[in-house]
Amino acid sequence: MPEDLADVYRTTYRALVRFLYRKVWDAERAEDLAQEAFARALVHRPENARGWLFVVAANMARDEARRAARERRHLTLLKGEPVSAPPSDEAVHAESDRSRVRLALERLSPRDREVLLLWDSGLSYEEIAAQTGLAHGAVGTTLARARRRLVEAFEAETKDEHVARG
Amino acid sequence: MNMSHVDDGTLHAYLDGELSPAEAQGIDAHLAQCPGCRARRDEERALIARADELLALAAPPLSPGRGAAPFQPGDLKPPARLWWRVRLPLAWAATVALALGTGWYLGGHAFLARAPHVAADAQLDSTARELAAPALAARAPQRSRAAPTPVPQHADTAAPQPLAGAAVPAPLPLAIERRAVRESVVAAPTAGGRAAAVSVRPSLVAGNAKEAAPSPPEAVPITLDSARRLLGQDPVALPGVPIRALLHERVIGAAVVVVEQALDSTAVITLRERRGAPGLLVSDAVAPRGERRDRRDSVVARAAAPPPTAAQVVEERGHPALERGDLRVEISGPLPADSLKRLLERVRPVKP
Repeated sequence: MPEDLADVYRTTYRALVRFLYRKVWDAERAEDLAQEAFARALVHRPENARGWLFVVAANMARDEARRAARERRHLTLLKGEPVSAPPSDEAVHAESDRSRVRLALERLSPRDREVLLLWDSGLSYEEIAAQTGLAHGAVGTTLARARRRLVEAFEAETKDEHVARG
Repeated sequence: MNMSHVDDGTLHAYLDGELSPAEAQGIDAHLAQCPGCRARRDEERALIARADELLALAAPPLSPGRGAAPFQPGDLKPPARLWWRVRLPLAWAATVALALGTGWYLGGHAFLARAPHVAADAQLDSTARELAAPALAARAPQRSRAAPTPVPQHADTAAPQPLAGAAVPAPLPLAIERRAVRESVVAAPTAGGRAAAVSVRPSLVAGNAKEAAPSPPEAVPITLDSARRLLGQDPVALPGVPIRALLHERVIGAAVVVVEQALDSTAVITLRERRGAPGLLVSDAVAPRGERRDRRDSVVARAAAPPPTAAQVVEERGHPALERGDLRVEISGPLPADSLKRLLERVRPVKP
């Protein structure tokens, strides 16, 4: 019997927004995508709604990022500038803590980042394993590594900034 | 018991509470005897705390102004009843719901219970309560964007969640939508519009307290042919979704066809369709994310209806509506406004 979507909504909506936010870095867009994911769940009625939602959300965010990257490339091509990959201007001139964390996150490998973000969004090891294809036992190891790298990257950035400012 | 030292992965799983009780006990036992691992445990614990801290810095800001954001506890004035936590059998729930409906009205709440639906919707399960009641809660304050919106976290403190196996909650947002529809009817250029707003509400109230029929007094089930005649064209509906009811809602100055569709047992979508007044339609071309011109500025006279395929999704006081030719369609249901808008874009004429 399909899961109780209303309960899922109540317990998971904000977590999904949180997860999406770390991908699109736009609060309103994150909420929109989360709502769209839930709307799709209402239509598709997946058996495991929670897991399904995070997978769908990750896909939507990825598609969106690709679209945005394509647009950026088109724009830069039109301007005659060399095509460069992200980070965005905001990330390069990072001022706020939020930007620093974002930068630090980008230093992680995609898998480490994904596992960390899923955990931070409230998924269990079992759910994370199911979504990422990792063995249950490997989730802890991945989290350990991800956390360490995140903190190290953040502190390295902060130090660099201080050095740069003199 | 001798165990080898604890590796990082296991240590983090332990600290995250993800080990089985047996495994965790094994770790406890080892830690009790191993100062080295205890020190590592403390380090890793600090690392986890620091990582959590950083991630919290990069969390989305809450935006209470948006329709779909969780409401703040202070927004609600729940009645002094604790019934919503109790699950009761449906038969019980029916009588409770009727009483609750009357009580709500007398209590001066803004919510009107369409108790009649209890009989019709006996098969709905209690989850509709969860879906719809937060939607109520979201509507409690006078918001500009009053779309019924499920609220994630504060359902416990939410407005009364009548226990009925959902029958009462499901129609509640609709009842409120109807009031809002009345208000928008007032804005329409029909002389009888204002009278409609005034005259319908009391009947809604009076009807709800006593009604036992499966429909509110002013909506009557009709056939598809009758609906076509009323609208002068095919009614629209979400393709592939069963139509649960087709009603004619008597509104002074307009013929409104109500199409109710069940997305599933807990989510009923209501489409309210009406012929726009010929020659004068509100025309807001609206981008999905709220570039809204002031309605006063955008009322235009239209000599001819646009081609049938041209449809615009507009937003009036937060209620998504669609205009296709001279057919005006409003949608309501236990979903966030943006989801409702998306659904609205999918409606298609119902063919025999």
